[in-house]
Amino acid sequence: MKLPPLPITGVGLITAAGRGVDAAWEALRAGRSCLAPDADPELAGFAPIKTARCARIAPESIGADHRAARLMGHHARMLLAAVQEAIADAPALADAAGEEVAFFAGMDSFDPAAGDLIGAIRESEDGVRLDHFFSEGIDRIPPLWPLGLLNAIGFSQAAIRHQFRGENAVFSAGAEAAARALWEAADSARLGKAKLGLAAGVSGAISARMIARAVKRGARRAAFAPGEGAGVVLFEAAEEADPGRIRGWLKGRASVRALGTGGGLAGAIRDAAETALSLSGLAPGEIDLLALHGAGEGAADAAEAEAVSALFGCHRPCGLATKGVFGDLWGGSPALDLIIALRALAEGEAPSSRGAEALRFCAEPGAGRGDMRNALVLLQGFDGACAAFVVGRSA
Amino acid sequence: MAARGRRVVVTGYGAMTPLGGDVASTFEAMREGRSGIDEISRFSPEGLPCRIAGEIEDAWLESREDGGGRRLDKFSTRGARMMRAAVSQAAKAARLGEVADRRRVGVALGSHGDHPQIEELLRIFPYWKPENGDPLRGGWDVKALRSRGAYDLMTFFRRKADVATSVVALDFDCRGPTASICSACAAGAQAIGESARLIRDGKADVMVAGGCEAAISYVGFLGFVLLTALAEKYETPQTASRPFDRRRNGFVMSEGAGAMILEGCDHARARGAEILGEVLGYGDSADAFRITDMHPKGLGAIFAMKRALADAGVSPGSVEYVNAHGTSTPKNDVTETRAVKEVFGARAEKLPISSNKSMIGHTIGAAGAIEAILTLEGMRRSEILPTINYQHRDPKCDLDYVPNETRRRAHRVALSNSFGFGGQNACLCLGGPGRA
Repeated sequence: MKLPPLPITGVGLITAAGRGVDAAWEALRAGRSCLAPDADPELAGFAPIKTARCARIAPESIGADHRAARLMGHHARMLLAAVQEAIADAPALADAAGEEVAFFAGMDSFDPAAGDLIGAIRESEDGVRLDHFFSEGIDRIPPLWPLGLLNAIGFSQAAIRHQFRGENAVFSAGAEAAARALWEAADSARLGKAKLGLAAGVSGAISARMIARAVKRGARRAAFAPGEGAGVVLFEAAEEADPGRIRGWLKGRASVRALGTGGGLAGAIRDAAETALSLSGLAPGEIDLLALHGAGEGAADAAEAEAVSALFGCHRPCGLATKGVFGDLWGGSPALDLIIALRALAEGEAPSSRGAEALRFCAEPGAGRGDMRNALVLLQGFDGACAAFVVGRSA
Repeated sequence: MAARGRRVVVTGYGAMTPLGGDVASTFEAMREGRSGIDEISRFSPEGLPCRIAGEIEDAWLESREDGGGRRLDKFSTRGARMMRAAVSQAAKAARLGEVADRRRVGVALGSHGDHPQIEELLRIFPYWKPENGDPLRGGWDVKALRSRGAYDLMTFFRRKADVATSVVALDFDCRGPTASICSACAAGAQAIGESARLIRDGKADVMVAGGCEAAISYVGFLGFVLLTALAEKYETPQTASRPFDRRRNGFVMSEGAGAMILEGCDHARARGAEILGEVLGYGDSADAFRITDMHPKGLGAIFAMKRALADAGVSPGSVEYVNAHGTSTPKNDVTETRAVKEVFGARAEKLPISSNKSMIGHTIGAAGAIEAILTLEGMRRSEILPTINYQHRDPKCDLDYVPNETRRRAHRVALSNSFGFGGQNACLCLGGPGRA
């Protein structure tokens, strides 16, 4: 079965390179990595690590009043900023009635700030007395702190701010959750359930807990580097979209979960890619650009290299990997990589990339300059989840 | 959904609630109007204004866990354990193991992972090193924390919102699409709705759908206490949850899990699976109003119900029962009543509406799934479960809430409402077993 291509009519992006797609694209083209040694004292207990943090976002810059801002973590602000970028990019989104906008998001796990609880714990006398915590410390907890434990709250804040009232869901956590959000938003527009389908993906805010989760996942190699950011992609039915506003086309998508170990992950990556290609009606030989997951982690990279090699045979598409520049955005990765792939197709340029084993398979950067029509975007989430998207150039 | 593509049927369901370790025992207790709410035993609620909850008995959980999945215990939260037990019941009913192509079997669950526990935080506090005398800035002594084993790193895994989905996918060998939905009280219903979409659109043949929640802990309570959302005035624990009653003053927190096996009708028929019901339609919406309040006119709830009906291709006149969100909070019940009137017009007065939460409390991420299952079971038995503790009429809540006694009535189409904290709403339009 072939899916009819679906127009992408707006994008918004927040990365460590700054606000907007241009800032990210220029950093990527220049090979200017946003990763830097992280000097946050909260991370001092870990082995030295490079991160790509987004600049703090002032509430007034995203139209949030003081009351709303009290509830907003960094992740919520990144999401709101990315949505704002998409609105600036897509007049249709600015003009649409709230009921006409379906809104889906993939949100990473969010952690309570240590500072929110430390004060309460200190009040419990020597810091380890549970009874004192309950009798003395509880009053020090900010009243709205518990809301921070619900990672749908940032999403709801964006819906409130922009009055999006269409169908919606929040998926969590990691790249597969954000890939699911892209998929659902696209289907909303494609099936006419909403005039516009808006998909967002948001990374967590970098914290000691986030790093600890990554370390537990075995990402001990220095190559692993967390990044912060958010991406937003707007889909619109082909018959509704203004041809002059089309940024590109979503042609195929798939997700597969690998279970077990060994060759399972490579097989799942290949399954996802083949399914997405099949839905797009394209053969591997028609893919000009390969946007790799390329996390810089041994087993994941090796599996991706194996899958890519088996899928493409002798054909060598241009390769692209963003994590060497922006870090691993986890929940923000699918939108970031899809948006960058669209830009690369539009520019006819695959910027020089680094840090991913599968890139060795690909053609040299620039080999396909000016002649790239279709891209395959590969993603890996947690626990063997894999996703793939096929996107096409706007013209 | 029938009008829009592949039909989605239910071939198995299972649940664990404060009233029973499975659907049959839960339903039997509820048809007798029993309450599963009692004094909290899982932690000391000393000092809290609400000291009641709907708890799952550990013995039920232990007796219903599948011994084959013990390898996953270290990853499993209490909620994920309940989820596995509920899925096990559903999978058995649906003969899920017989489905050969596991890449066509997916999982979508509503859950939120574990809350951080105060005890954990106190245990790691000595390893917090303030910077320049400022207690709120500083860093963790990770090396000492690790070397002294002060913190189980598995905790980080359990905190993930998608832990239940991951564990169920592994336990039941589901290799198809997965989704973990975190929309608070709407999560369980949204998981079922999203699963139905995946099947209808041909992305999966079978989905394990549902939700779980185990938030009866100090931190779990603290948020809702600070928001004054919990019932604080009650004569007995069993009478605290009183949806639509004039003396309602908050919801009662509970834990539980509900699981459904959804399947393409063609797929179910081809393998001879028994059809227990049908997901006819799904509607969802956002209030886009306030984080802590519903839209006062019930705009989001109205959208969700209307969208579910439109998705099902069903007219309001065909709906014979509404399983209400009915939390027992002053605002929700008035707003939901208003929304039902808007959707059903004059017919709303004669439409039976009841709240399962009057008996089992509010299971948050599991509520939408458990209530959808109880709706299907009610259709199967031709019984409508009551709203218990309905004693004092509220002039603003003036519909037929099936007060206090189970009603014997055949019904074949029902809505199940779930409205999430933060403003996300979901409505499922369900069909009974005779329709498919």
